[in-house]
Amino acid sequence: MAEYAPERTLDARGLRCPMPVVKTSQEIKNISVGGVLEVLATDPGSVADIQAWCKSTGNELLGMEKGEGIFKFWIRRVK
Amino acid sequence: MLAKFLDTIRARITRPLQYYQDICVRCGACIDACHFYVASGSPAHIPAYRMMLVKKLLQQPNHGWKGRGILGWYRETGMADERMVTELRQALWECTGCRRCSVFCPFDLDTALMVNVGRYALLQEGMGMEMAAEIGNAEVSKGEIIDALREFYVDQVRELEGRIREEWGVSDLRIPVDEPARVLYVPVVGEHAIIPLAKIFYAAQESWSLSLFTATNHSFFVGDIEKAKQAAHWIVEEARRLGVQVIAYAECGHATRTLLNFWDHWFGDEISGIQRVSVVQLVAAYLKEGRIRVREGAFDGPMTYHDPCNLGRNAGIYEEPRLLIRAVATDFRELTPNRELNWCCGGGGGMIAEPGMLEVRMKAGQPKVEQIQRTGARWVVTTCENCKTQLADLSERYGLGVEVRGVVDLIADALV
Repeated sequence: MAEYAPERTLDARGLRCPMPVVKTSQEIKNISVGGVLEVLATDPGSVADIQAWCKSTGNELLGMEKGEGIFKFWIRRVK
Repeated sequence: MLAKFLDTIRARITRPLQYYQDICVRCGACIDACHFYVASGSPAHIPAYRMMLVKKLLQQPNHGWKGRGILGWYRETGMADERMVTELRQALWECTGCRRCSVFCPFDLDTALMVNVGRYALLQEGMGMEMAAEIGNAEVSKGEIIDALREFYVDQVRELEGRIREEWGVSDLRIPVDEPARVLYVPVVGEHAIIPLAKIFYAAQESWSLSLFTATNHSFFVGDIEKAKQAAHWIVEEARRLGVQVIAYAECGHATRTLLNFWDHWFGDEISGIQRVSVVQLVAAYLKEGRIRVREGAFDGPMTYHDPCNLGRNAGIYEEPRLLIRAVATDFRELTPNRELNWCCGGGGGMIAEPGMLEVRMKAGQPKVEQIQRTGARWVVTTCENCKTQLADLSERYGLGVEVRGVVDLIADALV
């Protein structure tokens, strides 16, 4: 399992559009610059959308991991 | 003050918009048509006033009060002071673009179009829905990294496919992704937008492919039409690459409106020969043609239908959802008024994406709450993702005790 020492974890499972990105954007503001946010997601679209959000906002997607029906990924706040 | 706003709006104002501003005689027919005004009583929510605020600012001479003179008084110019900025923000952001005011306007003036252009201009001042704009940017970026996302996305969809196969006890149900097909289905984020359609397409034996993209287009909400086109163009490219005949959008109001009303203008020949529909229209056609069968009376109890403004008033889709609901419900009750006169739920225009707008939309939803209460419905069904979120939030806030469902969910649950 990847170890990124997240400051906070966001549970984005089962959220309706566009809440996974909205919650990620809100939650990253609670992380110190350079800190890591862990996101839990289940459905295919939200994972892709959060990755696209990382690209457009300049935050760094550190890694992803697939578990039993759950996807985890880690985002470093860049600015 | 508001220099960027004025520069932007002057650059973007079109002849129709200029006419709207000039033609509006402030007769007041629109006043009680606006759910925001009905709920708040705030003048900034009167559609004609929204229009007039922008007009006043546009008539402001470039060199401020000094150049205003007596003509300025005559032409009702307005100087951008703090009060006016507050009103302008309220007028342009606290609007769902539902266009109910246009139905009541004797001149059919499109206040929502003015609001849309004004929103983009306000964003240039840093005064507006930053979250909606941020999501819009991500929707544009998605196409740039789609190759990197593809494999992981397909893996995830395979897991979903496995779950449905297990639930239904079938081994040949597939969720094709990125494959040549007759129909390209473009979902919104969430399994709830994929699972019912996977079942329906399987039952109808449709040749289909799930899009790598989602239908939502938040740049449209904030009036950034260039970015809205870029985000939608990824889907145009995908449709052409896969050689599809039909693009079907999920139950998503604003995206369906762009697909049906704007794509011809945005993309011209690029999309010629490709039929574009709401998935609700596609599923209604399956039922009419006998490609799918449903269990009559599968939903036994009072059920009502909320016409999303973007599918109903703005795209003319009224009968297909009702056909589907009547096929599975024992007690369908219309909201009053309905169809083109239906009240907006208060959740459109990108407001769902803005956490700070929760109280505004809860208040603007009051006419909708009263409508629902009068029906005594147990289920409120609709065909727009934002409406679903708003209606569920309204139900919780006002204790309506209703379950909010999508039309295609009902059909998927009632398939035989």
